Amino acid sequence: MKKETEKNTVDVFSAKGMEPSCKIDNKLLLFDNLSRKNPLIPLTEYQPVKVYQMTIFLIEKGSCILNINQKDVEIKEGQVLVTREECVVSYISASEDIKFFMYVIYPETLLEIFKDIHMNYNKSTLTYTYSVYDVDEANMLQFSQMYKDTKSFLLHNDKKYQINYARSFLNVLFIYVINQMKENQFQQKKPASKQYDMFSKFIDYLNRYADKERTVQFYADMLGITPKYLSYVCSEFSEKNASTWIDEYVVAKARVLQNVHHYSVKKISQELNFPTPTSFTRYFKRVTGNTPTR
Amino acid sequence: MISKGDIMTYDLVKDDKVFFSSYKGRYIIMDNLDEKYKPVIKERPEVFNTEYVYVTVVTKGTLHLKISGTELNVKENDFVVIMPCMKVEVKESRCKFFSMLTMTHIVNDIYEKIGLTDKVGLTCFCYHHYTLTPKHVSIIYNEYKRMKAEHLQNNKKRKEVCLRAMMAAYECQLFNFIDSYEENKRKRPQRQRELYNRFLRMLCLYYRRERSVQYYADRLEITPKYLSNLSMKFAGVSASNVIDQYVAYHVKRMLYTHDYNIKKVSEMFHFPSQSFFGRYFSRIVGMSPTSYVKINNRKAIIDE
Repeated sequence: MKKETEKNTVDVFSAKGMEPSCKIDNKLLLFDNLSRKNPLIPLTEYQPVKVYQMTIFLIEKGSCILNINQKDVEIKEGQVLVTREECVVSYISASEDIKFFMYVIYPETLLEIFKDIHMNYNKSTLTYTYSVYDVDEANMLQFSQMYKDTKSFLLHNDKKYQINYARSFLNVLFIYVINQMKENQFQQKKPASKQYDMFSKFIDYLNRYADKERTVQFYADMLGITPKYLSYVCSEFSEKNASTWIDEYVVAKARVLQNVHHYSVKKISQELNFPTPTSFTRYFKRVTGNTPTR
Repeated sequence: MISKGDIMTYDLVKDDKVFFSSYKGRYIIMDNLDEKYKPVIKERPEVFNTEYVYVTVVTKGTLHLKISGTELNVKENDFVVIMPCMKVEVKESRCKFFSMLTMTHIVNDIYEKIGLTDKVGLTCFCYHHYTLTPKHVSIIYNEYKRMKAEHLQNNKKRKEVCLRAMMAAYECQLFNFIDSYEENKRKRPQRQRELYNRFLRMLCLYYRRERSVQYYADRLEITPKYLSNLSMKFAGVSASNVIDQYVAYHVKRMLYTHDYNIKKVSEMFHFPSQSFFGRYFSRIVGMSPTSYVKINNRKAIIDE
C-alpha cells in the first residue's frame, strides 16, 4: 500500500521544462517568469496534472486562466491564488504580458509555517480546496519584494538559514491569506452553508477516493445522506450532478497517470480499480467520447 | 503610547528628534535617517536595560557610547548589539543611525526557531561590536525598511506575527554573514574590571541559589562594600541591584515560556515561600508574577 502511494506522488515540478527559479530540496520551490518567458507553458504537455503540494500563485501583471478541480478559474492582475494539496490543475491560457511568481510548499514546510503562526494545519484550516483573493497594490509590492529577496537569499547564500529566511516571509503571506479568507467568509455569510459544507466535503472525498470508488452511493454513504440529495446538492452549486463530477474526476486522474507517469492502459485500469482494461476503455469512451489510447 | 519599557528612548521621542515606532512595547524601531532630523543628539542619562536586545547601526558620523563602564566609539558602518542587563549611556551622538529594540523574550523565541540557541543563545552582560562592509549594511537596512513599513501599516490583523517574521528574516541575514567578521578589539580589561567580570560569571552560575551580595563577595575574597563599589563603577547600580535584575530576567523568561507555574518557578529559584517570591518579584519588576504572566506569555501574545 505504501509503495503505491509513493509511486503516485511523482512530482510534476520535477518534470522537464519545469525547472524552478530556485529551490530547497523537498521543502520549497520558487517559480517566476521575471527572467524568462513563461515556465507555465510546459505544463500543457502534461495536462491535467495533480499537484501534490500547496501552491501560492501571485500575479503582478496580466492574467491567466487555469482549470482547477474541473472548474475554470480566472486569476487577474493583483490577485493571489492558493491551492491546497492534491488539486488537479490544467493550464488553459495566459495573457502575453503575464508577470507572476509562485511558491510551491511541501507538506513538511507547511506544517512548520503553521507552527510558526501558532495555528494547527489540517484540511479544514483553509476552507476551500482553492481560493482567489485580491491583493492591494501596497501589499503586492511588499510580497514581490519579499519574493525577490528570498530568491536572492537562496541563490547567493549557503544552506544554513535558507529555509528559515523563506519561511519568515511565507508566514507573512499566510497571515494575509488567512485574514482575507476570514473577511470573505464574514462578508458572504452564506445561509446555505450546511449544503456548501457537504459539497466541499464531497469534493474532498473525491480527491481521496476517486481511484477506488465510482458510485454515487459510496460518496452519499460517506456523507450520511441519500444519493439523490447528494446529486441535488451538487447541481445546486455547480450545475453538474454527482455522477458527472465523479466521472470527470476519474478521467482526470487517468489522464494524470497517462501523461505524467506514462502508464499503459492496463496499468491505469489496475490503479483505478477497474475489473478489466476493456471496461476502463468503455468507461473512458462513454465519458469523453474518445478511447484512452488517443 | 509609550509604555514602561520604552524608557530607553523616551527623551528622544519627547523632543521629536527621531522617527520612532513601538508595537505594544515589544518591537521598537527608531532612526534619524530622514533629512528633517538632525544628527546631533544631546547626551542621554544611563539606563539599565533588562527588557530589550538593542541593535544600532550607524550609517554616517560617530556615536560615543558608554556600556557598563566601557567606553565605545561607534563609527560609520558599525554594528552594535547590546544584550540585556547592561547599562547604556549615550555620551555624544553625531550620526545618522537606525536602531531596533526587541523584547528579549521574542529574540529568544526567534533564536529557538532558527536553531541558534545552542550556538549563541542569549547571554546577559555583554555587547558585540562589528564593522561591516557597506554591502552588508545595506542588506540590514533593507530588512529594517521592511519592518518600518510594517510598523506604519495601521489596523492590520496579526501584526505581531508579521513583525516577528520580519525580525526572524533579519536574524537570518545577519547570522548568514556575521560569522565571517571578527569582533572589533577591545582594550585589555584592567584588574578591577576583571574582578567585576569574575563576579558576573559567578552570578551566571549561581543565580538560582544565591541572591546575597555577601555570598559573591566571599567567593571573590573581597568585602561586599568593595564589590558594590566595583558594580557602581562599571554598571552604575549597586551589586544587589545587578543580582536582582539578573534573577528577575531569568524568572521573567521562565514565566513567559509558561512551561512551569509560578509555584514551581519559585521553588526552582529556591525561594523560601511563594509569597516571598511574589514580593521579591514585584519589588523589582513593579508588578506581581500573576499579572506579569497575564501580559507576557508566549501563547497570549501570538493569539491576540
